[in-house]
Amino acid sequence: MITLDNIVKEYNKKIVLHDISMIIEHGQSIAFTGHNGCGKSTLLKIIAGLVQPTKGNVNYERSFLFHYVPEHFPQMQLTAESYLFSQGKMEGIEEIELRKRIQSLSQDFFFQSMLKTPMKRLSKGSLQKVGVMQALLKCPDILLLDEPLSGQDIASQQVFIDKMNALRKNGVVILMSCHEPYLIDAISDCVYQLDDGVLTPVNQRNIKEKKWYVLKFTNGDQCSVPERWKGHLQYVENGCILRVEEKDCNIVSMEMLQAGWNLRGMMNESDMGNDQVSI
Amino acid sequence: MKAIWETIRYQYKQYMLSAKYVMPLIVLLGTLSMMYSIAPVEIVECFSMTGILLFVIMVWIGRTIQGVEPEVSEQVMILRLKSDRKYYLCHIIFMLCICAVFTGISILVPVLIHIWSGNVLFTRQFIWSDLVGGGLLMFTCSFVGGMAGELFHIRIMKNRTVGIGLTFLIALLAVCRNGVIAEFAAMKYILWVIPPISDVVSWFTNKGYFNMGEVMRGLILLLIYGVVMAVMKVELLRRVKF
Repeated sequence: MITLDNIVKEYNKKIVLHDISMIIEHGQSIAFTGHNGCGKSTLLKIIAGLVQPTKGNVNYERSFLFHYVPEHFPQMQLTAESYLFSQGKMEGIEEIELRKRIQSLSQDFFFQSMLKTPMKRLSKGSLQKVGVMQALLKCPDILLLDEPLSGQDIASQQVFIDKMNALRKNGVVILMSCHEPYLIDAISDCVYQLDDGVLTPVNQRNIKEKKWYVLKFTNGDQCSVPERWKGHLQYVENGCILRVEEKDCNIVSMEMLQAGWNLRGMMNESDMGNDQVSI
Repeated sequence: MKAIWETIRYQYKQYMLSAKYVMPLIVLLGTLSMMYSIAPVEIVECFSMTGILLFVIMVWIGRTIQGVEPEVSEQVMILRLKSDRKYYLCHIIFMLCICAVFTGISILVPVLIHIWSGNVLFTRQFIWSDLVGGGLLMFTCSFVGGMAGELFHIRIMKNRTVGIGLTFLIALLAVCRNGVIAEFAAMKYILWVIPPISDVVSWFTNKGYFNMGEVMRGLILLLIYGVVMAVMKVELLRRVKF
């Protein structure tokens, strides 16, 4: 379907992607993991033809309809409804059908009350929902997801997972850049780790076998969260929760306590209901 | 075709909400009202000068319109349209629409002042060739301005300051190209790359009427420059991508 031949990407003489070759087949759902800035988003954009590789080629079997959920959906003056309407019209969806589709998606993602809000006033999570909804207005051939769950609430995350699995059943190729193991587990059938520009397949069992813990912290005053744990963080009422690997629990607890937080609870994720896993 | 139309409509909505047209519009209206505050004036000369004014204003618009659409949103639309060329074409058509609106305003303002003032604004009565010739001249000047303003797009010229500087230089040289070549004849071997706005406008100075042959010659010449700049911008953007 899509073939990547020896893709190399350099930024300022630094090699981000090194000699990457892979074949993407019809109906595959692939997740790319790796550290922040390791080149996952760049790889997705190279596959979509949005970024020019320094060397190598991307070959397409035919012209595909790509839809893209970016990591940070931009703030705009337009209302979410107006934006979604314009995007749907661009794809040739009939007005009546489009209005129904927008209503249905906004209902699914608990977004109805925000449809008429200018996008510049939406929170990060709500903007991310707009990013997801615009990509679901029409069924694409290939769906690119760049950290699609960042900032989204728990219920919307489950809706998102259900919708992705429905698309998979329809043969849509899903290519995702992601850190969340539970999301990878829920929607991907193939995982690659991107490390130092090299792409290596990951045994999904390794991901499943890792134990994840959810730590709850509260604080009375304004406490900061150590930089390296911010990607694991979600603020909740009266504090925050962090989702970390078992091996990191002690160090996280210590650093958060030093930063002035109070530890209020720690749970093994597998003991929690799937809908409670939120970070 | 429907996708192109809807993309242009979307760009229109975004541009109107950005309010980036307000300052250029105020400058245009302010300059026009100053230009026509003294009566009587020559129709051909005023319309030709308005061509230069529109060129400069459209350079400004071409430069500022680049920030209206966020890069991520552009990526989403390029993928949705399945063609970056189609997306950039939509943008050029939208720029042409802005040119048409600004040209319309530039013709309408003096016509209204002329009627209000009891037909004393101009030294003679309007004839159809004034509207057609003047309109075409203004429209092509504004088109070239818009394309010149967009040539050093922020993705083509990553250094914003250099991009603005080069755009300003092109605008300045286009307006005074004639004078520079008159002073330094050898400069014509270099300045041929700059849009010949001042040359074309100079064809109509001290002329009582628009000669349609000259209007067409100027129109074709300016269109060539405008189209070349548009193609250059699109192909460079397609090459550098994101």
